[in-house]
Amino acid sequence: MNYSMITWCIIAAVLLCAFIFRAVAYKCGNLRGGNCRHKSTHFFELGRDTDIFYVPGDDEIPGMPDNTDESDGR
Amino acid sequence: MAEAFGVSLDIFIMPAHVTISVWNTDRTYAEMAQRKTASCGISFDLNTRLSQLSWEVADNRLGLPAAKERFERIQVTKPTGKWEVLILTGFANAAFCRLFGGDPFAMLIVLVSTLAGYRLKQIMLEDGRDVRLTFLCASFFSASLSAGGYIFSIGSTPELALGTSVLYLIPGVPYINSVSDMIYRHYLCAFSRFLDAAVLTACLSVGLCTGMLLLGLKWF
Amino acid sequence: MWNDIFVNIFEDGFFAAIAAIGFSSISNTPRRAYLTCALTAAVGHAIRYVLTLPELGGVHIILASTVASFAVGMFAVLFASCIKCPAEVCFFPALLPMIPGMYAYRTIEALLSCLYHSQEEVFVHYFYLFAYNGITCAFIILGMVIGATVPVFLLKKLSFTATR
Repeated sequence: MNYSMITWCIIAAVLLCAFIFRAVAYKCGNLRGGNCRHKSTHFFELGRDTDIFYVPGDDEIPGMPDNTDESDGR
Repeated sequence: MAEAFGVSLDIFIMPAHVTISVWNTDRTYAEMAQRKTASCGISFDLNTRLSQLSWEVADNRLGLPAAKERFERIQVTKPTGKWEVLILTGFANAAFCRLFGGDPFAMLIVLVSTLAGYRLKQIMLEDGRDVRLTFLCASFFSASLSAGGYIFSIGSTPELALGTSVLYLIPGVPYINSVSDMIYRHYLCAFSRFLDAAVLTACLSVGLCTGMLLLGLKWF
Repeated sequence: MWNDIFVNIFEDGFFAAIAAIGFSSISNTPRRAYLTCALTAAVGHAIRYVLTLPELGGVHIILASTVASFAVGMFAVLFASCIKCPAEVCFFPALLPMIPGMYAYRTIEALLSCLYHSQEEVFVHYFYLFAYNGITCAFIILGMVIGATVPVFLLKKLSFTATR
């Protein structure tokens, strides 16, 4: 085993872990059903590029999907 | 189509917005509407259905309520099943590797790494991650996995496996669209589409290079 | 020798067809268009393969792509009305296997290599690779799209009434 083989195995393992973790999380989410409404608040979040235009008072909370496309142009 | 409704209209297309102005026939009154374009991805199925609807309105003089009802039905058209897309993409990329002259081992490696990378892309897009980050991660993992051919010296063309494993991520349709916009002289749209595609290609390339750097492989 | 070439051409078309179906499924092509797309892509890619063969003149890849896309466009417009899809739905997926993806990402790769190497000779070499790959990629796509769009205008009536 040399350096690159070990790295390759680590990368493959990380990807496999990600898939398994995702599948488990998905299953658990299904089992728990609707009673996991509360969202834990993270210190670090992945924002989106439009969040930079956030103004206090906007309906949209940064990071939440926006449903504001329905507004009429009139 | 507008004639069927007895109006004339003008469409102004920008990369992220569409403005439509509808005039009555003697050009005395107009309604304008500006909307964000829906981010539904590329769907030729929608294209086809909308084109059919427009001909039906023009030929059969479908009324506005009926046309609207049809339009709403088109809006909820289901995309192609994700597992079907995953499998077909995997085989497509393996076939692509063969086109460049890869041997069966290289095809197999490409198949596996494409399946893994594309599944990762699907998962990340479902979770609402940024497209660019998604492309970077998917190409990193695809390239790293297919570099296994090099590292464990499988087959006779490992470099082709590495080179073609990320090709499923190349945004081909935006590239074609950008050039056809250029032909129709919609230069702003063309430029924005081209930059979109170029940024995605850059992300893909960075992912690939990171993978090779981590694995200590020589570039090219 | 000719036998070999024919087998190669056939293989090229076959794998291009698989690639076209797969890549078109990403952009939600209607299922009834798969077969036409595959056929069109096979014809297009095979034509490009034949034109770039060194035994048969070895036409430059940009010109070969343009000619091949012209054929793709023709086929797509002719078949589009059979499957009741706009011509674009047929020829976009058929063009996808011909997109010079390798050139596209090699361009960026070479740019990154430029940053990595500060020695003048090496830098110039990678900059040359960057420019070469970039220009080739851009012109192949330009040629492809022009080649595929011309038939749409030549057979205007047929292509705009495909979904009628």
